[in-house]
Amino acid sequence: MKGTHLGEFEELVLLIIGVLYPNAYGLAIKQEIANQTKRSPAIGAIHSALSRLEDKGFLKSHLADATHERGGRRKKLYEITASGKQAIEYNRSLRNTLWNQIPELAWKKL
Amino acid sequence: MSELKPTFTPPKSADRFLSFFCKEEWIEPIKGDLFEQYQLDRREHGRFRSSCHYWINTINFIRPFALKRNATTINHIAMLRNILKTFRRQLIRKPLHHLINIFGLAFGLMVVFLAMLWINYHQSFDQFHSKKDQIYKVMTNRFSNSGTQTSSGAILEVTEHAEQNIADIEHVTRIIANWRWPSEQCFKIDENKPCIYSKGMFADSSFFKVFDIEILSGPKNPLINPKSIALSESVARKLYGDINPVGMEYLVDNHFKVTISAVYRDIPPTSSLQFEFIAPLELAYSLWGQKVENMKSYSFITYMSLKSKDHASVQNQINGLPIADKYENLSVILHPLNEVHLYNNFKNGKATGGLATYVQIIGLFAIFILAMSMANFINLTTAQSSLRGKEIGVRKVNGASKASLHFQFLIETFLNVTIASVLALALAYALLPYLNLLIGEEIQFAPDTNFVLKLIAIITSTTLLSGIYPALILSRFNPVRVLKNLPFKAGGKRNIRRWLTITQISISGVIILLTSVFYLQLDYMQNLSTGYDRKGILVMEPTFNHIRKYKAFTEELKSNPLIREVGACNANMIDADFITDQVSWNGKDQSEQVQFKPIGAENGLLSVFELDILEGTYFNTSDTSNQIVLTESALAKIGLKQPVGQHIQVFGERCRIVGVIRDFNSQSLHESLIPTIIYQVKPENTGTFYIRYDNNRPVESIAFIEDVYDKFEPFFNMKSKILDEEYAKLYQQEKVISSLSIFAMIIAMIIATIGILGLSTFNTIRRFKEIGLRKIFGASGSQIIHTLSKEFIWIALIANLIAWPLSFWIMDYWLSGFAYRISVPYQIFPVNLLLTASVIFLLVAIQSLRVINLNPTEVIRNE
Repeated sequence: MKGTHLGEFEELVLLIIGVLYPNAYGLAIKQEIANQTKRSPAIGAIHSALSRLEDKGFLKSHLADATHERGGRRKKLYEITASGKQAIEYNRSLRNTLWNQIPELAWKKL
Repeated sequence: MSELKPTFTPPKSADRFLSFFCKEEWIEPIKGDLFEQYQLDRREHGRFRSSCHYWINTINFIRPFALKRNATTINHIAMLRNILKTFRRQLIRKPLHHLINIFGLAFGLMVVFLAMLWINYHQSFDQFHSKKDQIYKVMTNRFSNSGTQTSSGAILEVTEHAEQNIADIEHVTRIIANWRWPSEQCFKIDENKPCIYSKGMFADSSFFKVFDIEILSGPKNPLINPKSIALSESVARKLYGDINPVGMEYLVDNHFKVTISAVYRDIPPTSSLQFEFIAPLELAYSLWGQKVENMKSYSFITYMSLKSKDHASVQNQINGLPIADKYENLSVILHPLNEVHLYNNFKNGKATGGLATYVQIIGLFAIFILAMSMANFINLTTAQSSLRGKEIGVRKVNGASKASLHFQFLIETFLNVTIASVLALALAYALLPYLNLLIGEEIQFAPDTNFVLKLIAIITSTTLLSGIYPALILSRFNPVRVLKNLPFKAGGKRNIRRWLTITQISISGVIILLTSVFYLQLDYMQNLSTGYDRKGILVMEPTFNHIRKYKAFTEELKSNPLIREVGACNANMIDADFITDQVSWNGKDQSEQVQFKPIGAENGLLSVFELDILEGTYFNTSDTSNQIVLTESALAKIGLKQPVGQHIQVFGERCRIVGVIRDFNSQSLHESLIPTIIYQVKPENTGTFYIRYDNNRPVESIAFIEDVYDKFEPFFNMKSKILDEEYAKLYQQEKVISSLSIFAMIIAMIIATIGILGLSTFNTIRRFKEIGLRKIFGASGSQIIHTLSKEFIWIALIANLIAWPLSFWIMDYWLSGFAYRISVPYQIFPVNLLLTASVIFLLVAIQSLRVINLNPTEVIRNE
């Protein structure tokens, strides 16, 4: 069943990669998550999630050119694949379907 | 972002650490991200904080996705099978080398196993009682000007008051044991059979509440009825066979009727209290013809079980009782039951070890010997490693990583250690009966879970300790050089091997030196003059009939020329344990407490022991006044100028000094000597007869004494001991340690020999060519021996220099526990050096002979 499920953090990382296109790499993703969600995940956790998403086929990556501020090291840039897009879309539609099924009455009491 | 900003360098060590664990493909992006983060951090924070953050982030990458995987598709089973196959082939190809290796380890492990059994045996003493942590032995410290003496009893009155007044005390039980009579009973139910001597005890009824003794038949507490006796299973079986004797009647001493109230399971050998029967204290009083009221100030072996763990507080409470003031120079100490067996020596009122010291020494010896055999193993394995160069080269060329080679050699070591352990267990099992015989103990070979756990721990640690270094060395070979037959470095650093040999020889030196000191001290104590001739004295235990007809009995004995002298006294002449300070004389400083050992004796005793008279005479038999004989040292304490004819007070009685005798030993030499005084008592008040017989005809003499015994006491059989044998028993512990260390010494020497032989063989083979060249240039045989043995002579010297201070320190510590000790025998140090050097020289010389007779052309041509 590996490759079908998308966890909450994985979904967040996937979306952020889309947002950052075409400059999505480890540290940039971490900073963007920090800006948008006020969460500060460890950089190791980001890479771990990226590796998992790549294994599931939701991401593809390539190495960019070396830059000075990285001490001459190359960035690993990520892009969403078609099946990655499918996975976020599935999550989104599922959420919408469920959202629409909630009766109005449920909100009344709040 | 395009212009160049100054960059900060992150900590290199963290980078190295990352490279250590991280997969190659991930290092680039991860390092880049970490670097970038570090630059950001440095702009806002200091260097230290940024570096810490860098480290934390690095460590945070220890996650499954990033970790290196050596060989993800290794077939472990196939690999293991290959390792096993290689190991088997090695064994077949070089059986001698492996046998030496394995036996070296097996000897070391055997010593460890035997030591473990021995230590375990002594540590398991008294551990079978459920209340073991709450039980304390009540002992008494006696203060005086000459120091504090600790005796193993407590005064009845004091312990009674303690029991009534101190809430933390749960039960108190007083015991009469170790008195020859009535603690030793001659059981007889059939007129025609000889009686069976059994040692037992008399105790308070709370005894069974304090100690866990399993009752096989009868009530839970068999001591409630004062006219009862409980027998051990084996005594009951000996007397009554398969019939259950509970409820039957028995005549103690052939006249005192009691009921057999219970049969209990035999006391295990690991109990410090040993008794084959047990009866209420009241029975002992009745046998003695004493009333309880008269016994108040007597000392009894006493045990207490406490409700609280705080025995120090209870001890203070007992010593603070009003009754304690009555015995002003005495104070009670509570000695935990868990320590009664191991800590049996007392110095200045505190337990200082005794057996515990020996447990430590034996444990140390075992670890030492194991270390020696591990050093051997490492030496031999690395020395022979060059022979496996090709195998390792091929493995490496085929893609074996260092880690897998490490694994292979560790598995091989593990196999060697396991085989050695099995061998060692078998050897230990086979040797244990002989060891038991040698040291007179009853150690069982019963591996429990604890033993198995320790065994696993020992195998693991031995494998790791002796396997890691060879594994590192072997996996280091450069495959290209090995396979192209180029010279390559093999066998690790020669220095390490040299130091391992030095360690071995110094350890064996320590063991040899300590063993000789143990032996010399034991020999010194056993042969130290006791002040009289110990040979040819029989210690006889009289019954009431002998004591009553003492004069007739003596005359009957002396009618035979085989019997020289007969005497009687109320103490054990070789280990008198009664001490008193109730001796006073004119001019004595009343604030001073001077201790004496009083022995009550009848006149014949002085003749039996042939105690040299210096002044005055022995007791005058016709004179009925209280007479007393002082030893030299007692006289020195009292300090009278003209002692003979003067009076001193002993136990409040006025006694006339009739003579002064030369000092003799009346106790074991662990403690310092307390001056002995001998006062006259009537034969009726003695308890032990001493008979000097013709030592040239001992069998006839003893047979004759037996005949006379039976004439006066037809009901019982004679119970007798030879004084000299009893004297040797006083030093049983020292004999045990001496025997054990001689055993350890032999094993240590064997292992050291294997070690030296292995190393010198290797060195000799390695230097074949050199020797060949030397011979061509005209070196003589003795020059070659010199070249080969030079290194070893240095090794012997350095090893001795290490062993000397270490063993000096241990032997000085051990000897300080004796009041009568040899001084450290310095001559054994150079003797040891000479011994090791000559053994080493001999071994190396034998090796060299092989080379000397070699034709140099053969070795040099072999290119």
